[in-house]
Amino acid sequence: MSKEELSRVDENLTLETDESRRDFLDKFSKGIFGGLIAGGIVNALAPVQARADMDGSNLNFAEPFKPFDLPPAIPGEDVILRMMRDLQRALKKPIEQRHWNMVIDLRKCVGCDACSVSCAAENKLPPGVIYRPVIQQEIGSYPNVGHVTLPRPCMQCDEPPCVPVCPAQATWKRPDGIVIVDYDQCIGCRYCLNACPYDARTFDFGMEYIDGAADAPKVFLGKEKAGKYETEASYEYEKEWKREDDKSPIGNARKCHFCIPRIEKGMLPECVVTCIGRATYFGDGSDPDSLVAELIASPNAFRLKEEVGTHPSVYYIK
Amino acid sequence: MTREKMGNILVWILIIGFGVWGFQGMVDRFANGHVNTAYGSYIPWGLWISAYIWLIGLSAGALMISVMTYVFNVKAVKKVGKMAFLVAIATLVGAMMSVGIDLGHPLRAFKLIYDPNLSSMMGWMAVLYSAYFVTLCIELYFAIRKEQVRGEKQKAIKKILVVLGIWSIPLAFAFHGGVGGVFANVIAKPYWHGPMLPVVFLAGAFLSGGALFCTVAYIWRPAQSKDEFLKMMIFLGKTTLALLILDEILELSEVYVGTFYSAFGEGHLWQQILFGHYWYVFWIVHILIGVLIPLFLLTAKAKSPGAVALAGLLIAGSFLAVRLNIVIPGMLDPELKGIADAWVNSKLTFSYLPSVMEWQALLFIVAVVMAVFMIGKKILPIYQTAGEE
Amino acid sequence: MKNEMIKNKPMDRRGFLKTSALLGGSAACLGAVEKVNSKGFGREKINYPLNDAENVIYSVCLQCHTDCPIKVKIEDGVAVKIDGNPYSIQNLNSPIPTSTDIQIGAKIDAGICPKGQAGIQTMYDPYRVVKVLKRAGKRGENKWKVIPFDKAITEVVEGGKLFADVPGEENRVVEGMRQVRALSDAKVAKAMAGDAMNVGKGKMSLADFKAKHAAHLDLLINPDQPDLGPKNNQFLMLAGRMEHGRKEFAKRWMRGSYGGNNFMEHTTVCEQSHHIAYKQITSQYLGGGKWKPAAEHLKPDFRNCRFVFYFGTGFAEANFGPPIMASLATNAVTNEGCKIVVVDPRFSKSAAKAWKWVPVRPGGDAALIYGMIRWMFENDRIVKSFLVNANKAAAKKANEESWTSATHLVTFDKEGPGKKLRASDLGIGLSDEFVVTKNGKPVAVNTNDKLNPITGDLFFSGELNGIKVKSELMMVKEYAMSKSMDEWAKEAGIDKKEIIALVKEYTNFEKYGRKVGAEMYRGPVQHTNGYFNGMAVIYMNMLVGNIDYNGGLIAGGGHYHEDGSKGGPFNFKKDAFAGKTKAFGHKISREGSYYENSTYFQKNGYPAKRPWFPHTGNVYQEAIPSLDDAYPYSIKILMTIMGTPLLSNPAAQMSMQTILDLKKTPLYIASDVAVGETSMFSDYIFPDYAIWERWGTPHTTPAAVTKMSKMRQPTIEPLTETATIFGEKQHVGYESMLLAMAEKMGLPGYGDDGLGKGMPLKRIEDWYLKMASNLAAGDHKGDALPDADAKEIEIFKKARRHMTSATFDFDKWEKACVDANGKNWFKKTIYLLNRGVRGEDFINYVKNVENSDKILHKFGKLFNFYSEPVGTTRHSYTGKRFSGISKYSRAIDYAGKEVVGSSAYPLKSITYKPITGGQARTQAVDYWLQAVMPENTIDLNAQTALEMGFKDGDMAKIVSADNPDGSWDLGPAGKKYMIGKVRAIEGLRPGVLNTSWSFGHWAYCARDITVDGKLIKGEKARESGICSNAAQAVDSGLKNSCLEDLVGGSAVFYDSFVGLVKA
Ligand SMILES: Nc1nc2c(c(=O)[nH]1)N[C@H]1C(S)=C(S)[C@@H](COP(=O)(O)OP(=O)(O)OC[C@H]3O[C@@H](n4cnc5c(=O)[nH]c(N)nc54)[C@H](O)[C@@H]3O)O[C@H]1N2
Ligand SMILES: Nc1nc2c(c(=O)[nH]1)N[C@H]1C(S)=C(S)[C@@H](COP(=O)(O)OP(=O)(O)OC[C@H]3O[C@@H](n4cnc5c(=O)[nH]c(N)nc54)[C@H](O)[C@@H]3O)O[C@H]1N2
Ligand code: SF4
Ligand code: SF4
Ligand code: SF4
Ligand code: SF4
Ligand code: SF4
Ligand SMILES: [Mo]
Repeated sequence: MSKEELSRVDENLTLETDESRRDFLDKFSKGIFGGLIAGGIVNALAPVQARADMDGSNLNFAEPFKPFDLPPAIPGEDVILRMMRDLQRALKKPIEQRHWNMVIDLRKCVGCDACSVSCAAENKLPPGVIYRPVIQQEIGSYPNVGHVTLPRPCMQCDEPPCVPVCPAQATWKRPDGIVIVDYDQCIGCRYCLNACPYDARTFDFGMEYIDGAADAPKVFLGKEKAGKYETEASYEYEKEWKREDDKSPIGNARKCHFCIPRIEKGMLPECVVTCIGRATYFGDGSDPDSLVAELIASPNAFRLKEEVGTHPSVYYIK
Repeated sequence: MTREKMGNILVWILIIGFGVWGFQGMVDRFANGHVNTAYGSYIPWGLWISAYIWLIGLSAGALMISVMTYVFNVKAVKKVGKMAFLVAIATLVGAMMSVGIDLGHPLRAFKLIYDPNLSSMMGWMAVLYSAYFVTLCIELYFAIRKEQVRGEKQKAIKKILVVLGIWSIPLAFAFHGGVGGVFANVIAKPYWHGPMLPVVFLAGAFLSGGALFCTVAYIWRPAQSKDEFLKMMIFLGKTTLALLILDEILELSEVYVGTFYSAFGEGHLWQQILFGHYWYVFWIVHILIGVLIPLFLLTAKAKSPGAVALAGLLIAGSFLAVRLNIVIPGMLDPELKGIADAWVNSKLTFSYLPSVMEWQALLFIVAVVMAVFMIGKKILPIYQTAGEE
Repeated sequence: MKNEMIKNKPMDRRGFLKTSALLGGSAACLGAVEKVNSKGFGREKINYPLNDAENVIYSVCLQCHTDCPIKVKIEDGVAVKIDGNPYSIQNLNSPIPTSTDIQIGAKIDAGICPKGQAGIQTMYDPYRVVKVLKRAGKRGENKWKVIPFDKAITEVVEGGKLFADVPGEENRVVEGMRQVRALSDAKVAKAMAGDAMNVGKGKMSLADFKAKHAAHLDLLINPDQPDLGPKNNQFLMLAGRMEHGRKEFAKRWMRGSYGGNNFMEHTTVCEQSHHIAYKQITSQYLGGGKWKPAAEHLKPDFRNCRFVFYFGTGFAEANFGPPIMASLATNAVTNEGCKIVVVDPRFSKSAAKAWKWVPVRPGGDAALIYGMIRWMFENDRIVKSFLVNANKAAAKKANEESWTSATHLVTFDKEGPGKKLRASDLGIGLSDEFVVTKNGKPVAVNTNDKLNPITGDLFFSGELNGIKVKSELMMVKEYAMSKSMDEWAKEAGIDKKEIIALVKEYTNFEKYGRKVGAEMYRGPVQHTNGYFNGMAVIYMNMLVGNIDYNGGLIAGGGHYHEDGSKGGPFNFKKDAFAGKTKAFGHKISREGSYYENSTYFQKNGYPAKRPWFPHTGNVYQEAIPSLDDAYPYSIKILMTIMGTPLLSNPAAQMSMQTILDLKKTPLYIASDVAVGETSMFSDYIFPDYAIWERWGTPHTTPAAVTKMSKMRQPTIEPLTETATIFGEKQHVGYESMLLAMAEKMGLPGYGDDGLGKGMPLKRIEDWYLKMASNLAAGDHKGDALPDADAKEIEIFKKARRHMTSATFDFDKWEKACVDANGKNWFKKTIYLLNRGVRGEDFINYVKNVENSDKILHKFGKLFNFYSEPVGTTRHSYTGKRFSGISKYSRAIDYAGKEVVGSSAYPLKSITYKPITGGQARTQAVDYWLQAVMPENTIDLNAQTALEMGFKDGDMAKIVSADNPDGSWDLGPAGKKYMIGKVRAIEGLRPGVLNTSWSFGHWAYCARDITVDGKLIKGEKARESGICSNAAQAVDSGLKNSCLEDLVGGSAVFYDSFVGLVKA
């Protein structure tokens, strides 16, 4: 899909008037006092937190992506394989030329929560931290009933309200569209949690699932041995994180990061691969040949809460 | 026993009481992090953030008194200017502690001072508080120094104080309006989002700070004549009354706009505040204790210093409730309906009642605020006046 | 602000500086820029070890019985992540070829459900039993002590005063396993077996038997009833749904070595009637009056189906199973315009995707179907060209693969239908030939005849040679016409118009062709009439002739044969080890036995005290009630493994007292991973390996269109203690427990030459690696996998670097793969283990679907409308014949009494499996799944709730006529009430009460437990929710167990009436 088409989709779906009104209110209230207006201007000019390294020129990965051979394509192959091919193509481009998009086809989502659990397991999320809950609701009345499900990863907004609010410059948008949290910078003020219109950020309170269990290693497996999987490294952003003491990511804001360590190895995000409804798609939206670009162009594609002007990278299909 | 002595004893008892009981909360905070707090990820801010804006408001209000003294030369409060600085510093310390323990990584917060994100209102706060704190300290230093020198020197200092005072006006507006901005800028929270909030914050700050000062000035009155004292109290009472009325007008308009057409769908939040589970916070703590009784005292008993002091105490103390009612309801609405049922955890709910440990830690901070004030008062020549030429 | 600005033109540095400059040259800001640069995000080496084959071991999930192939990712010896296996068609719709490099396979993850993901938390349950626990208080008191494994084995084998330290049991002598194994001489067993059964059949007199076997009569349970078998049968092993591999191991141990006949799985509480319906309908005639089932489970081809009925099941929550079915179904619906209909009183997640949701009255499926069938007959919307084919040749000629018995004739006597008419009856052919009419004239037909096509009249009713006969389809039609559409509609609880709309669309052949199908699982079959309901669903398929079509009803791709029966190097089917015994005698559940062939029948005639089940097996819910009644005999030792009958059976509370009774259950041994709801009442709990630590060769669901076999194997070092068995240090688990018992008792078939000369059976791998070798060898010449090359072998070893020699010993593993001819299969086996599955190349399927309208793997066999075996079997209570065709009936109990509600108990109770609930187990231990669903609820239709005075969120208690107290009486453990939260919803048929499975635990350390005198705190969250099984009706004819399907054997889950009271 071309850029023009992309913006057409935007326009169709955006309630411009409302957004600009809110924009105005937003800027106005920000700018109302003294020197703060300057901050407001920064925001007005650079709606996305701009960082010097955002142009990607200095994102020189020590290990460039090594493509691997996928089995030859066959008719009717699983979309997972198709998307892995798309992914490899995208990774051959410079980072600033790709834009990661996720598409969730709600007609195919069966509300199984495999994505939530898989993500929690992959990222070693402690209790209370969740990147992709699946919201479920019954609608209608007997016998005309419906059940709607809504998996909610981070929208990786192109205009992410969570970014400018961060006092610590701990969160920003990468050139490929992913909004990241730098755990080492984050002070844990939770401002971004409040700022996100999707409740997509949660705070790591340092808990463990095993906390409530008794430790009786002479009899049962015991808490200590049982809890090991929780403290093994999690791979987020470009690092590994071990949950120990009060070290990050404990005390940090956390959110879905589109499984950066996986995608940069040519693997699809966890929630995509495990999705039993094959309702979740991932790829480079700026590649017109990719499956996600195809899907974003569907007439029934939409984005959540367009009216807040966040321009999510996550599309839904209804 | 003099009023001052009684006050001292009472306050030290409170410091020790709050300190000892509150210490447990602090220990819990540092041993277990945020585990035992009642806030979570969907209501990320709780008592401590509310207390922070409460305390910072008190500080801003106290600053206002000092501005009156040194910039506008208001006679009635002439002798309490230094004490105003002291109150402002003590409450600022408390505010910083409150926000400090609320952070996930408090130690990292220091880097905000030299490396803030200036498109974040909170980033600005770091800068402004630093500036404010420095300003306060310098002002206090000069205010004390002023009494110790004579002649040209004193004049120069007076000028410096005027300049600093003038500088602190926009500063106060900025940082406290900015605190309002911290909330008002959050598009995601319709209850907060809007241009009114910074104004409301400021008015509230001046009101609560002024009110607190009524009490402080009453108990630890400087050496003045009875008449001077009465004048001071009446002035403080009147100022407080005016601010109270202003604040209530602002509040009424908030309620009115908020409820009338359910603008931005926040009507039900007002419903919650007014008639929900925690109705008493609004009606008893805020309206009865924080508005109606003070209103009565400040009008019917305007000439009684004791009544004014009491009114001040009630307003300043209950203002925490006002702050809570700004902070908490803003977060009560899920951004996406049903999200709390999607992944169930005690940290992922949309109800909030501060936990015991949160109260404990807050009381500890209040104890520290009082201790800073008491000690500052003791070691600094707060009452010293050298007369002017 | 438009997003492409961000997307395509990220703010360049100049832009940034410009805006910073706006701030008035804020030095701080520039400082920040500096700093940011030095932070250099993204420069570090991206470490992600989970994509390396060295950190991956493939295995098979068993959080539910779908058995999805998985890959377990391991770090520091800890299983950290589980994903779907890309080589497997259960996880990837187009599996990658088995030949794909394992480093590529490691990088491709495929789908699994949330339970599969959460397996880690089951594996690492802090309350997992890792040492042997022995009861230290009264049964059910939940007081235990840890004892050494060897001591425990000695105790259970030798018996004695095992519980002398328990008050009240000081002098109780317990018979050990050795004593119960009275008959240990294989020759004696062989000599007695046939004669004993012949006494039951009346073919041999008791006196003759006694005379002939006088020396050994004391070895029998009852010398006067030799057909009950030897005392060995008094050891009862209840094995949940034990999986292939393990099942063969256990049966060999039980039947061949121990000499007992009572090994039983759980399938009747599961869905056995569905299996039996398929088995009877697909029974092939072998001749001599013998029939042999050809399949027990077929499914619509969800890939290509364009119209699918789901009866009491779906694709999104349970069934076999969500990972393979969900994506096929959602794709068909959204991309291919497939229409689905979900027939279920409950609005399921599958119903959410359906064209229509049909909230059938529970138990009304057959009525609904007969309404549709009636319409099909009336409007001539059946596929006659398919149905007229009477034998294989006719099918071939008509370009069909399978054929039916629609035209075959059934004889009627004064009792009604009986045997099928044989050609010999008319003198027109052989006794193994059936008869059809062609234009009214009888023609002999050999159904398996490939050469002479015979078609017949579909509807024939008349007399031939004085024998009253009807064609099978005639019988079905007459039955369909026996009630009006209105009557069927009323029984189904569905509007007549709706029924017609459904069937019209289903039979819109012009639009859908044969790409239609009807699927079912538990919903229609766990009823007293379950088997017949199941048949009706299969009729829906047969009448539209969809069998073996792409998009029709298919048998699946099948599997390779791990038992070696198709030419593998180790033939377990012919495993005739020295000393192998012949087990004989009726099973405690009387499954597989005709009542008429028993000495009980000779003594008592009809009615039998408890039902006999000649056509089914694994009648789980009968086991404990039967030992309660000591019918047909009592039990001395009970063993449970991987099953929890005291929770999972309907009316299970009735069995609690039986287990608590030391006389009825003198010794109870459990193999478990936890102190479970049932094992909590045991005397010994032997720890088992968790799913991901053990071996197995589970089979593949028919939803898979290509052939595949899978291998469960240890992925981590088992967390259980170790013991030395047959001189080998190994971890304690179910198999090693049996090995140790075998060693202790000196059972035949184990030790150095256990599996044949020079082939020891001393370690569990000795068994499973041979099965793996069989899979690697394939089913015929040239079918073998390639050898793993040196690189692969290296990876194989490295992936197991966290294992000690108790689990992984390369040399011993290799030795286990050497066959009798000295051929070493290890390298091929490694190739298999490195992928966890071996599968047919998917390209076969793709090519086939492009060129043919028939499915790749064809069933190609006879489908019966009429089951002769069932039609000639008598009900053991009434003595009347069962129907041979599917018939609808309301719920009745053993004695024929209709199950009805009352004003106090007005609600029909049903149950279902949420996607997060795996059997009884997952919800108790998997924290992630608890986060998704922390408790279950008592669901009512909102209108029903209103009428009954319940609001959403009210606490309520489920009560029933048989359990007015609404509780599980756990003896010393107190009571557990069926109290839960009411959920008033729209998606449920009014008048129905629904609760999910997997909740309502009292054990699994939900409560505190005492071990070695110390109180260990439980986890309260594990106790949440309810299990409504204790509210299910008690059969009025049986008094101590639930309602049952007397043909299929199923326990009944959806026919009971319950009440709801405020709590
Ligand atoms: N999530 C999950 N999946 C599993 C399992 C698991 O434990 N959890 N276990 C596996 C096993 S062992 C099995 S047996 C299968 C079971 O797979 P299913 O049979 O699909 O599962 P259940 O939820 O037991 O299905 C019963 C359904 O029948 C409906 N029902 C009740 N009464 C009637 C009726 O009279 N007529 C009709 N038409 N429907 C009725 C119920 O509302 C419910 O939706 O699932 C397998 N897959
Ligand atoms: N209300 C209600 N009841 C139902 C159903 C329902 O849908 N609703 N479904 C029915 C169906 S379809 C089925 S298949 C049955 C299942 O019923 P069962 O076969 O009885 O059940 P499981 O839940 O598999 O039983 C597992 C028990 O085995 C033990 N166990 C767990 N893991 C292991 C292990 O790894 N090794 C060993 N040795 N033991 C282990 C634990 O004690 C656990 O409680 O339940 C039936 N009961
Ligand atoms: S919690 Fe961390 S990422 Fe979020 S705004 Fe605060 S510092 Fe920034
Ligand atoms: S969804 Fe929320 S957290 Fe994610 S980028 Fe948008 S605002 Fe930020
Ligand atoms: S993309 Fe990765 S981090 Fe984001 S929700 Fe999916 S699995 Fe979680
Ligand atoms: S895994 Fe897929 S089908 Fe399941 S809830 Fe997530 S998006 Fe929906
Ligand atoms: S469907 Fe069953 S076997 Fe498959 S992954 Fe889920 S729990 Fe495991
Ligand atoms: Mo089952």
